[in-house]
Amino acid sequence: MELVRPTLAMLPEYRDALKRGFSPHNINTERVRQQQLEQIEEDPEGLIAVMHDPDGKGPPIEMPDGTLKPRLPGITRWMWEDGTFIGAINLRWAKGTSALPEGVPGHIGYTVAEWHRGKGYATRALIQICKEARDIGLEYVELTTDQDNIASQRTIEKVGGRVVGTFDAGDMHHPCHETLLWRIDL
Amino acid sequence: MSDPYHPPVKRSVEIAGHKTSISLEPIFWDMLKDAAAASDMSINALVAKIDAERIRSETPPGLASAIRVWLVKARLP
Repeated sequence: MELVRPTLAMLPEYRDALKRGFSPHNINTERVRQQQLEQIEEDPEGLIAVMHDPDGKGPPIEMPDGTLKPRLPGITRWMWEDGTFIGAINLRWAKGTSALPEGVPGHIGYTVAEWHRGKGYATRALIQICKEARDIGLEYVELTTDQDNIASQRTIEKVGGRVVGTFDAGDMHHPCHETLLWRIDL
Repeated sequence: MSDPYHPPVKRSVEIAGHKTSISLEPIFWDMLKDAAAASDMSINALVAKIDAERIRSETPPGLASAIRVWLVKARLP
């Protein structure tokens, strides 16, 4: 498995995964899945462009309450193996600081397609994106997990992460669950 | 294709009535398309021909490997 920068040539494979039920987000899962399927039809170039936006030049982000927030610098990479889409991982940050941007539930978010889970893909992806985070200049990254998401917690532990607390804004992003805040030193 | 180091992408092909998918780097898909056009064949037909050749080999490679080798061999002097 390698982490790749998404391109138009890879979109058909990504569309197949979305159609099969993959969603790149674990918040508003179904809505994001539908939005991405629509965007693939209407503006595939825009979808690809926003996946590599290290200067935060893309359109503003719509928050769960409908307000708009300027887009942070961020990159999305796909887990890719022999032409097959495995999952997605993204990294976003605030310019000039390693601190977690306000209101963001983690520098890094990842989702492995359900039919590819349990094979260690997330761990390998996390190791690789941490290298990119270090290259960008971050000294550490912070991630959040639900307290009952044991698989994701094991993934972060394997990469050297430790719990540093609970996530204050967690209620907004992970309703009904205690949210753990993890840190990985780079 | 601007970046020759693009990772492999999958396409569906049909060999003798059987649908399958093959992963090749885009540069090889481009070469395959050109090679098929040059011999006035469909991509499916050319892949079927390469498939038949590879099966006759003493150590048959995978189909994607066979296509890459065939394309490079076709360009050798």
